[in-house]
Amino acid sequence: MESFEKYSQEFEQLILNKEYSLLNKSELQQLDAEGLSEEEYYQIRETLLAIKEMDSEMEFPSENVKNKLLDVFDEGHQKQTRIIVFPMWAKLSLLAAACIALGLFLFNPNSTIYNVTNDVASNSQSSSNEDQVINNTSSESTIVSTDQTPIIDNKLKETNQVDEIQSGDESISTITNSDNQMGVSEIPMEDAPTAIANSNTSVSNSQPISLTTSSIPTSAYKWTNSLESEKSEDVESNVVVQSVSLADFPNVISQTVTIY
Amino acid sequence: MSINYSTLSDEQLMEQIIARDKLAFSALYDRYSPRLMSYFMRLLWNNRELAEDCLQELFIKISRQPELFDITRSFRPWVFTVATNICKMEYRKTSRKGQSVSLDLAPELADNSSNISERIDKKAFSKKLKEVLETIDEPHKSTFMLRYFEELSLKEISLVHNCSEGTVKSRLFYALRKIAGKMPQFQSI
Repeated sequence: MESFEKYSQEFEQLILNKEYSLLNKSELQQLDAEGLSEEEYYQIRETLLAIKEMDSEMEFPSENVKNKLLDVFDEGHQKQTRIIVFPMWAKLSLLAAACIALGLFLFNPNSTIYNVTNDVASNSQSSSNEDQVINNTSSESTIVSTDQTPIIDNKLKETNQVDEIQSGDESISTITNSDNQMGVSEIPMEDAPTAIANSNTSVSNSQPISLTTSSIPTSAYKWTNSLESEKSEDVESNVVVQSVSLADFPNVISQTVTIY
Repeated sequence: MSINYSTLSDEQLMEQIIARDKLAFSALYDRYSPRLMSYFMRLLWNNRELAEDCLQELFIKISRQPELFDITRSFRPWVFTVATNICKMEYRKTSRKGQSVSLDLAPELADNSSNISERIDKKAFSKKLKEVLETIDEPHKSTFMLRYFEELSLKEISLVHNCSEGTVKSRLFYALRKIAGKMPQFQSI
């Protein structure tokens, strides 16, 4: 293949212009390397001469080919023009659609809007409004309502009548409600639910725990030794802290979704 | 100001076509359609209908995507590259259909005239050459045709076939030797 690459226009000129007998030593060596005989040499020469003398026959396509192509060119041009016009429409419609979408997003009638002004008075009013919202919400999320208080009282009265409950060999748990205070022996609050369920363990509330419900704002229950349920609100943290007596524990537990 | 398209170079015409100048497209078609038509005819078994289809395909490409041509480069090798690729596609289609790519050789020409000018009947030679070219494989055939029919330089052919000039030379040598070997009746003794 490398020797073939030696073939060039010079070689073509050599074949056309020089007789085989007049070739020099190096030229003959080159032809030998190609395996080109004298006969082949002249064959190639004659073929080359014939090709060069040959009239270059031109084939002409039919006229309608040109007409079709010019039509295609026009169509392509029109398409291109349309493409230039079309994006303008597209841009305008897209812009309008974007404006509508933005307007719906910003001015949705279902969404609450708070006006922000620099006026101090209006700010304080706004703040009190927010407090009102929290109060309302907290009242909604209060589990122990005033209506429930008599029921609790009745239960407490029942509990007062039973000072001691014995259960075979098991240890005795005593719930003392004298002086509105509870607890004979103290157990950790973590064990409170188990203790209540077994009803054989004393529960004391030396450490308040918090139980949160899923209602919003978050309600927290602080367990106290007091038999009366109390309610306080931490406005800043938006958490309603509610002190609930131990007697209400089962009720609260039953309504608690998550215990942290 | 009217443009004299006949004086514009191929590359300048392409610039005008990119700017959607229909007259430039028409001028380019007039300039190249006979050469390309002949090229297609020779490469595609002298099938005129197929050659016209390929010519249309090529000019539709130029019409729709003229920007594919890099105006900083020479147009002639580029257009023959596109033409050669179209022919290759046709070869693939034909081979998929299971048809034979090469044509049967026509009956030997009976011309025993002693005079060389008479013996080498140009028309007969041309016909025979076409037939012999059909027996050569595609890269050698198109290289030979680009060199001797379209008169492209070795460098331009190397651009068309995306190969080195050395490869072009060797292909030319191979093609010429093969053609000469198959046309003994045209040799002067």
